[in-house]
Amino acid sequence: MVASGQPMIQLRRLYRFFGQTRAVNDVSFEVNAGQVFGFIGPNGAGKTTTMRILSTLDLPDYGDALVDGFSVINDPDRVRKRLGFMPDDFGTYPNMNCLEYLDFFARSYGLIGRERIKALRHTLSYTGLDKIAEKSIQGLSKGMRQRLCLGRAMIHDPAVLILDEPANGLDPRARIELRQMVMGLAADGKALLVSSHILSELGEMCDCLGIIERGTLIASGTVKEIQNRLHPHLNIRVQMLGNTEAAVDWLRTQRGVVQLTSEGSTIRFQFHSTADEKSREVAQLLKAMIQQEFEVVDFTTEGKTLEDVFMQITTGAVQ
Amino acid sequence: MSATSPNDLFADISLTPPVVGLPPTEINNRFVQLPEEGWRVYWAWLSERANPIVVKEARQALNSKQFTISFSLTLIAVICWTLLAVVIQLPSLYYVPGGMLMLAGFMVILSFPMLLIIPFSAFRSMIIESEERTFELVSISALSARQIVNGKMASALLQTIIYLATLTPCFVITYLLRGVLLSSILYYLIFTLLLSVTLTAVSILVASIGRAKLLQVISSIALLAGLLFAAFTWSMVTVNTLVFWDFAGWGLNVVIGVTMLTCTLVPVCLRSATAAIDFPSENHATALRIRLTIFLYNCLGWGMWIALAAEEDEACYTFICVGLALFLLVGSFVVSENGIISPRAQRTLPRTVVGRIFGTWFFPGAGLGYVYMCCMFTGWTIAWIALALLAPNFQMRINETEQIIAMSLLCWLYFLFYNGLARLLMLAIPKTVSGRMVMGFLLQAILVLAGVAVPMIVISLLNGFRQPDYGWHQFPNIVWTIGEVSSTGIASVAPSFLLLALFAIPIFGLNLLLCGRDVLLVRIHVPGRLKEEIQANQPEPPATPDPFA
Repeated sequence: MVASGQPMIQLRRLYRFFGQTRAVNDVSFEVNAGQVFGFIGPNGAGKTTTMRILSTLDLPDYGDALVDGFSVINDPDRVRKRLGFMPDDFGTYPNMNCLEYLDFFARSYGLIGRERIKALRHTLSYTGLDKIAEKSIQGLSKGMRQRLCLGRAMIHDPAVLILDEPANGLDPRARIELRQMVMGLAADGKALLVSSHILSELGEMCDCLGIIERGTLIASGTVKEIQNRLHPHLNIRVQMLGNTEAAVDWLRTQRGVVQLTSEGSTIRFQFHSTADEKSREVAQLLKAMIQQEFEVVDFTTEGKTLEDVFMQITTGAVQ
Repeated sequence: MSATSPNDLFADISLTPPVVGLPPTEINNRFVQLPEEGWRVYWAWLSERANPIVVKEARQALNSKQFTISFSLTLIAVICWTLLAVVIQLPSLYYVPGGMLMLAGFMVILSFPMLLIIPFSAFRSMIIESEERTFELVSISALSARQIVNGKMASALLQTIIYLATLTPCFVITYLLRGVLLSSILYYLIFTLLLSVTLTAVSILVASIGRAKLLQVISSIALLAGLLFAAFTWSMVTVNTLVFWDFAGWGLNVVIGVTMLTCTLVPVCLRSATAAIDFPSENHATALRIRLTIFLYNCLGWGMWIALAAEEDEACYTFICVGLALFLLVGSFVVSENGIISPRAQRTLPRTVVGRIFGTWFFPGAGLGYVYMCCMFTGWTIAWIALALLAPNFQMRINETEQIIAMSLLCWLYFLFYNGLARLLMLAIPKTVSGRMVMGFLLQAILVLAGVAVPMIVISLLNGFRQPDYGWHQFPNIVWTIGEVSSTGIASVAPSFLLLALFAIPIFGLNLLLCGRDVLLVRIHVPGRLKEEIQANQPEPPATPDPFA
């Protein structure tokens, strides 16, 4: 297969209606190779519907989605060869063990001979399933089943991976391992679209985020971009060794410093800046404080977490 | 995928250490090891090239209790029957041929796994895929819908072969016991096999169409009842015909006829099942209509052969009417399809004038489908008219030429009228509504029944519930009008004939106008990205040696 050089995932004004409900309402975004795109939204926001359309399991009412330049409507056969999908709720076959399951999907993706054996070996070791390869699927724990499903999705070395709630129901260790796997796959040059309710994890593993609510993409971009869009100022906390009052008086005179408060030896303020490089201006402020011979012990910017951003941007409304 | 060929696919992946977990363990399993020397190499080669669904189903079947139980029960039944038949026929078995009774028993035993268990297993296998949510995973793999359906069919055939192979020694014993011709044994086995294949294909089709939960439950019950009926009926037919029917005379013709019908019907069922589970933009209409054409004209051919062999005009009437029923049935499904000429299908539209005149009707769309069915039935009608006109020239007994022609034309008009009406009414139902096929079938049935009942009721009411005579007002009544033609001739139905033509031809014209948009569509270019990939995947032409080098 030949890569196109264009974004691996492109959503172009996607709409999907279920009766009066607009499950997906004019959603557009792009994901490039090697990028992890986090898809966040409350339950019923339209994440799974969007992912199912991208995986060629559903059709949009309007708009189109492209995977490596191929339309999910008109060329789903080409899309499927390039795509690995890990659904939230997936099925397994009875009377099968992990190896037989993966072997069947390897064959289904057209892998034969040495390629199939290599793919099986690699997938088993990558997902850590090699020790339980001959164990029946019905006896697997939730975490192991998630690994098996990830293995199934990546067995044919797809360029695009779509993971719907991959960390759902996993214990902390399994989550960390899954995060490492996802980041490893992105490092291999794959484009990943991941949805999750565990926002802290998404914030760590994703290069880009899209926040969707009631079918509409209400924010998208890098975590920092979204944070900056919502909060153009920085919250700064300064811990002084002494001379706090003088420091407060001096800070009041500085440009961009507002909402100054002090409590004991701790000073808190907001720093407003229109410059793109806020960090540089913050560094200059710190430098100036040191030059004024203020005894600064700690100087920290307190950004909003992804949870804060999510709570602020979404209304929690359902349709 | 970044790799350009399967050989490169995992070239560097195999060197990549696992990101998480402990170091990989060595797996001693045949799935992840290259086959050793000898027969295993050939077996591996064969299994690699087999349909993955067949491989998976075979593995699952071998591990499943259902196959073990049904297979064991069949074996036990065969052994018990062998012993019982011998005991019943003793001591005369030593000098009187006893194969007949033995064969009858074996055929009854065989008909249950072949006509009940195997088709129902194929049905359940498809249903379980959607119940267990594995179907979605398979459908988005590189397997095409056709491979999935063919895989299910092939797995069922594999089971059939196992059952037949297991029971072969029993049939050998039957032949050795004398009293039954070898050809008779073969005929019965072929009929059972063909019936089993047809029922399996139908079961797969039913499972593919009924994707909604309620429809699955209803279809499960209906199919199980139908298969039980088929197995029981076939057992009875086998037992009765073994005793009363001598196959030696014209058994071969029947075998050829049934084989040809099965061989043309099964591809229609399988292709329909494929279309039901495939993505909507794919053009299945062309392949399906080609198969339908072959099946319908095969039916026509055998119908004509039987009519001529029977040397009865009634046989002609019967087959013309059977043709109308068959076309109305198939037509009801065709006019209720929700396919459209997608941009994908538009890439393959015919370009030449001749191609557009003849090929457009094979493209998706209920309107185009209706015109296609009308063309097919026109051909069918012309064939019967030609037979009626030409038969006397070839010393074939056709007495009532005019009546056969009239009946053919009448059936043709009925088809244009009722199927066209169904198509127009189906336009009111949105394409997104599921179960359109069922709706189309019910609508067609209701229309035909209303055509029979409404004029009868109205005239009865007007006549004070006295038995009315046939008149022009009965023109929508298929049953009475056709009965009238066959019994009294064309003269009594002439006004109905004209009235029917007056309604049927405008309905056809209206349908033709409504599918004008589809007819005017022209072929579109293949998208650049697709062209790029097709070109990249084309093998490079071998370098021509330079003779001057």
